[in-house]
Amino acid sequence: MNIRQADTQQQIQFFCDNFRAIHTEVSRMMVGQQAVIEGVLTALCAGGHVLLEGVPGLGKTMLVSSISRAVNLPFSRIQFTPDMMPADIQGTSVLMETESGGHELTFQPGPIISNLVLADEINRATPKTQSALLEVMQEKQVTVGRRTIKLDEPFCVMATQNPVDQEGTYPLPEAQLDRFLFKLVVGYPTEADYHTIIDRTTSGETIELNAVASGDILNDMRFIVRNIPVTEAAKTFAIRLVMGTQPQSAYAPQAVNDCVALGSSPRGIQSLMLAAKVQALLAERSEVIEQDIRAVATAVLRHRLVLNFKAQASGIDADSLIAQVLEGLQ
Amino acid sequence: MTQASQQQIKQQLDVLAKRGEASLFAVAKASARRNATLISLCCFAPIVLLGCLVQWWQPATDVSSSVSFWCVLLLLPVSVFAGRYYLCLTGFKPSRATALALYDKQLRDDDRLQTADEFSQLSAPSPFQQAAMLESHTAITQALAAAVPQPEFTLAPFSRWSKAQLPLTALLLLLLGLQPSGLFFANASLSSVKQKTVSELSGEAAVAATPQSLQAAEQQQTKATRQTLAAQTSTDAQSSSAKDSHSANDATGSNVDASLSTEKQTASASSALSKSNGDKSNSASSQPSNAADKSEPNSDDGQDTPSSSAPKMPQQSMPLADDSERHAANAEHGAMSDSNPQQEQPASKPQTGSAQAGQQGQLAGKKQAPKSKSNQGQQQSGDQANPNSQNTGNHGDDGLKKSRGINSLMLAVPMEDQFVGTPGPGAEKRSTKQRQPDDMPANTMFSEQRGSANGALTPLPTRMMQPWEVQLLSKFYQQLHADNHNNDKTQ
Repeated sequence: MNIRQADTQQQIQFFCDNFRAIHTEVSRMMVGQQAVIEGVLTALCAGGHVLLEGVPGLGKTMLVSSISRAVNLPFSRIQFTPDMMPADIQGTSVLMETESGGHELTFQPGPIISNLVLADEINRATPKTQSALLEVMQEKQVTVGRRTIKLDEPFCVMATQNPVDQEGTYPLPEAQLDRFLFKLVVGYPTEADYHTIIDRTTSGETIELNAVASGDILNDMRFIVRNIPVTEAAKTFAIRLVMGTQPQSAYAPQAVNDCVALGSSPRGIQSLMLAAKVQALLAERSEVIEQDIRAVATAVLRHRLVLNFKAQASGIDADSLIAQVLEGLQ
Repeated sequence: MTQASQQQIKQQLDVLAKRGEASLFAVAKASARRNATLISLCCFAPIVLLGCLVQWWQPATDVSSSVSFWCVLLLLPVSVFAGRYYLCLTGFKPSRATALALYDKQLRDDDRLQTADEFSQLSAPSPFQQAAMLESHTAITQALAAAVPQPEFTLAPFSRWSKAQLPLTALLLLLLGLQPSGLFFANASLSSVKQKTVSELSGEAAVAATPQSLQAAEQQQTKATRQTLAAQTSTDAQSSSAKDSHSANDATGSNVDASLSTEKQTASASSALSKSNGDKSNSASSQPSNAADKSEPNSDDGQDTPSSSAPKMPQQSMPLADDSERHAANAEHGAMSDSNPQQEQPASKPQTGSAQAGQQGQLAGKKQAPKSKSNQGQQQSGDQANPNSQNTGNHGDDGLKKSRGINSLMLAVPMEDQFVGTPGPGAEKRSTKQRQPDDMPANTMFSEQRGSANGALTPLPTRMMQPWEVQLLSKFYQQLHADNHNNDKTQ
C-alpha cells in the first residue's frame, strides 16, 4: 500500500508506528537519554541535521551509529582533526592506472557521500574543512571541481562536539550552526541508567540491533511531516518567537536586547515549523499548535543565538533567553 | 468530510463565537467603567484644588460667574469619565479567534476550536485540515454544553493619553479661567470696564476710530495723486524734470539706473492704468480731505512702501500717503526733495546701519533688481505714482532694503542686505616681466679667515636615540613608504 495515497489517520498512524519502532530499537542500545533519542529522530524525520553536544563518554557516537543500524541506511563516520582537508571529506580525483597501462584521474568519493554521516568532534577541524559541509548540508549535493554529486535522500549529518576541551578547537561558524535543525545537549545519565549501563556493557551480553525501518520509510515519514497544516495562530506564534530572539525587535524582551548580538535567521523558523510538525504527529494531531512549537523551541533556537560579551561574562546562556522569550509570548 | 458537516461545524462555531464575544464585551465594559471611574476620581481632587486657586487669584465678582465656574469645573471629571469609557470600548474589538480561544482555554482542548474555525473558512481544505476539523467535533460538542467562560482581563488602566489627561485638564482650566477675556472672567472684565471714566472711554473710542478715518482719507489722497501724476507723464516736461531728479539721485549714490530702466519698461503700463482709474479718482481728488493732514505725523515712520495694493490696512496705507505727497512735491519742485531725503524721513535714521553696510545694501539692490520678477512687479506699482521716484524697493537713503507687502506689516528688526562672497570673480590674470637682477652687497670671506676646526677629526659619536625618537622616525619612514606606495598605485 502506498502510504502517500492513504487516509490521513493511516498516515498519522504509519508515522507514529515507525517512529516508535526506531525509538525502541535505539533505546535497546542507548541507555537513558530518551529526549536526545527523540530529538535526533525528530530531526531525521524533519529532514534536518543534528548537532550533539556533550562531554566525552556519554554515548553520542553510539547513538548515531545505533540509529543508522535501526533505519538500515549507509553510514559513514568522519573523525575531524585539525590536519583534515576538505578533500578528505568530499573526495578527490586520484591518478589511477588503467587496464591498458595508462593513467587517468578517477574521482574517489569522500565519506560525506552517504545517507547518515557522523561528523565526530566537528569543532576540531579547521574552518576551511568545516566549510566543506556547508553545501552538502543545505543543498544536499557535493561539488568537487566541475563535478556535482546529488546525494540520495534521506541524508542527515549528525555532528558531535565536546564543550569542555576547547583548546585547539575551532568554534563552528554561524553559517554552519544555522544549518543544524537541532542542537541537543547530551547530559549525564541518571542513577538507574548507570546500573543498566554497567550490566549491558561490561557483561558478555552483546546487543544486535535490527533494522526496523528503511530509507523509503523515512522518506514517507518526511512526506507526511511536510503535509501537516499549521494554523495561523501557530504561525504567528512562531514568527513572534523568532523575532523575539532578534535584538531590538518588537517582541524581544529586555534580556535579549542586552545579551544577544545576533538572533535567529529565517532558516530558524523553517526548522521550527518542521520540528513542530513532527511533534504534532507524535501527539497524533492533524495540525500544528502553539504547544508543539514551544516543545521544540529551545532545541531549534539555542545554537542560532549569538550571545554578546555581557551575556558570556554574566553566565547567561541561550536557553534561559529563549525561556524568557517564550514567557513573554504567553 | 462532506460539505454539510463542514457547514454544520461552521454554524456551531458561530454560536460559540457569539457567546464568547458577548462574554468578552461584558468584561470589557466592567473594566472600562472601573478604569474611567478611577481616572475621573484622580482628576477630581486636582481640579477642585486648581479651581480654588483660580478663585483665590482672580475671584469672581458676582455669584453667577462663580456658579458657572464651579459648574464647568465639576463637569470636567464627568466628561473625563465619559471620554475614557468611550475610548476604552472603542479600542476593544474582540476577534472571533479570541472568543473561541476562551472555550479552548476552558476545555483545554489544544486550540481545536480555533483550528477548526480557521480550516472551516477554507474553500478546499486539505485531507489533514479536514481531519483536524473532524477531530474538533468532540471539542465543539463539549463547548456547546459548557457554560460561557468568564475571561479574566482588565483594560490598560493608564495609556499614553490618559497620562496626559491631568496636565491637559489643568491647562484647559487655566486657559478658560485665567484669560482676561476668558469664559469665567468675562463678566469681571466687563465690570472693570464699566468702572472706567467716560472721558477715558471717549478717548479710546477716538483712538480706535482714527485708523479707519485715516484709511479712507489716504485712499482718496492716493487716487488723487495718481491722477495728477498720470497727467504729468504724458507731457514732455516730465522727462526733463525726471532727468534732473535722476542726476540728483546719482549724486546721492542711489540706484538710478535700475529705476530708470524700470520706469521705461513700466511707463506704458502705468499710463494705461492711470487712465482707467481716472474717472474714479477725479471725484476723490476734487475733495482733498483734512484727514490726510492729520495723518502727517503718523506718516513719518520711515516706511517708504511703494505698493499700492492692500489699501485696507491702515499701517500700510499711511506710508502710501507719504509717498504720494512726496511724489507730488517731486513733480512740482524738481529734485528738491530727492536731493535731501533725510529731511523727509527723520524716522528712518535710527534704522540706518553703518555707511558701508548701507552701500552694500544698495549694491545688492542693484544686482537683484533686474533679475527679480517680483521686484519688477512691485516697482511697476510704485512707478505708476511717480516715474521719478526711487521706489524700486532695492535701495534707500539708509542703505536698508525696503519692505513691502506683508513684510511691511510685521514688526521686525530691519535687516541689511549683505553680500556673501563674490560669485564669479572672473579669470585671474598673471603677467611676468623680465627684470635684470640687482646687485646685492656681499661680504667676501677668505678661507684663511675661517680658522681651523676645533676638536678631533674623528667620526662624530653616534648618540643613542630616545624611544620616542625611534618611534617618530619609524612612523615618518612608514608614512613616507605608504605615500610612495599610494603614489605608485595611482600612477
